[in-house]
Amino acid sequence: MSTPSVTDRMPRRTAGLAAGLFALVGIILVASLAAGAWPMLGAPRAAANLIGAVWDPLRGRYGVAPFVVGTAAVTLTALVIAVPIALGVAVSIVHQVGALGRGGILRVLTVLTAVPSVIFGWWGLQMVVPWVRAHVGGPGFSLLAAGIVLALMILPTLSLFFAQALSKVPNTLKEGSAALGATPDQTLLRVELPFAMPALVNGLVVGLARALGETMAVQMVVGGQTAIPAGLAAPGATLTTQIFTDMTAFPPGTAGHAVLDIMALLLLAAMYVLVRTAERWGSR
Amino acid sequence: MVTAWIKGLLFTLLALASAVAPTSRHLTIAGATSTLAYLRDTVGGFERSHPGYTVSLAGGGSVAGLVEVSRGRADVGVSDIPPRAEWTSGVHLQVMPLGRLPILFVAHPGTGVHNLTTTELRAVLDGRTRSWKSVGGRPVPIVVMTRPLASGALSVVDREMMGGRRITSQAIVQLSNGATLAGVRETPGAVGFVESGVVPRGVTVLGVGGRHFSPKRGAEWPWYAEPSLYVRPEAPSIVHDLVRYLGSHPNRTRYGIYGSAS
Repeated sequence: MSTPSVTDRMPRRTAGLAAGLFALVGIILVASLAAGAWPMLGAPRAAANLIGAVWDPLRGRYGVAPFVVGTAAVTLTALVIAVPIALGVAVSIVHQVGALGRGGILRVLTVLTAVPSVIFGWWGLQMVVPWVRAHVGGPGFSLLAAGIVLALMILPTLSLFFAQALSKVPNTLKEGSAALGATPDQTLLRVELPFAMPALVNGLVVGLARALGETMAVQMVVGGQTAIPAGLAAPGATLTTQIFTDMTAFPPGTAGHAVLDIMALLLLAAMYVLVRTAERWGSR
Repeated sequence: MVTAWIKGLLFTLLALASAVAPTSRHLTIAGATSTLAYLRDTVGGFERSHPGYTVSLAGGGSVAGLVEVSRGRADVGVSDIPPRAEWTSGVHLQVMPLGRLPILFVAHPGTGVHNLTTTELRAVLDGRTRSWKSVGGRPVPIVVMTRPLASGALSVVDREMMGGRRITSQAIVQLSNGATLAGVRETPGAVGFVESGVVPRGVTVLGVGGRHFSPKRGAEWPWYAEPSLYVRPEAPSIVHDLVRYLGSHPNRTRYGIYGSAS
């Protein structure tokens, strides 16, 4: 066998270079955030300051608890709303719609995943904030409004992933279940969903990651309040929205900027835990 | 073939590099959003009187303007806040004041309140007063709207109105003047502050301490920001020309920028 020519080796080398470059960018990103965060992490009583509930940077109070609570509340609200609906859409696509309708729905969902988040935010400002104000109370700018907007944003992505997961269930399993006398609903609950669970969880993680990382649409409706929110109808802020709001106030080198870097690292750590959890769950 | 491919790639990179390289004929202004309308409508005159030069505008807030001009990423920084060393990296910026831009306290029309004493307004903004009924209005909960920490207007309100107290942490944060106005207009019980030389529509402009804002006597309004233009000392003469042009243009009062800064 002859040695591959330079031209033959080019695709493999280009791919390797791209992968290496991608890994390098990731390492540089994490390293620069860690370097930016270090002055604050090394400060006296840093942990006590950071886990506090008071965000008043001009007086040296850097409690990020309101934003962690806000992030968790908005993300969970979005998932609670979006996951059942997305599962319903996916089941309809796989089981109840003909091939023609299925193609149309999938195309619409794919287009919806590409809608810029600012449009969802704008729509949320016009529709969801007044709705929350009128039906739930409070000023309308709230964690609930942000959760609803996020739910609608991640719904197409979740629906597509869930539909793909359910469509991968082998027909032999479904036919076997039917042959044993199971109804379609029983087959769905006891055969298809358990079989598709790893793929469903992967879709859930993608949706969760988008919900955790979304900034603009949430910023427009969440209210930006820096205190621990009193409830879902109260305004609040998430880690991403607070980074966005205050990044111009704290140039690199300031304590405030270091805290924003820590908040970014927290988000990355949350993503890492999510991905690892999904991998473990998916491998069962 | 590989050599040709590498040459093509290098040529493309060089072409891209030359396309994005900064040129001295393009000037950038960045910073406070409060004067963007004035600057946007005025730079056209400068471009016409200086053929070949273009001027672009970017917001970002006062602090961003000071940071960007100090680091050489903008030719002119606009700020309502005096520079601090931590923002300018020790660069001693030259300043050209634009004038005074009134800061108006505005409320939702449904509050039933048109006037407040300074003490009452302070208590409303710092969260001690929770209902408009407590200050003579309707029984509507107060919703305070404020601006981000980088806002020059917030800096002035903190310094000149709050008397050492802080705006409540329960306040809703709006990213711009326009968003604040829209938020106050649409949210029952809302109160906030905006930089404006005209009386905004759809909201109640609060009289404070017996004073009432009128555009005809805008220069007499006691709460105001002092937007200024900042440049690096070594900036080319065309940048200084631009700053002089913007800092002395008679159009300023049409945009609510009164007199000259103290």
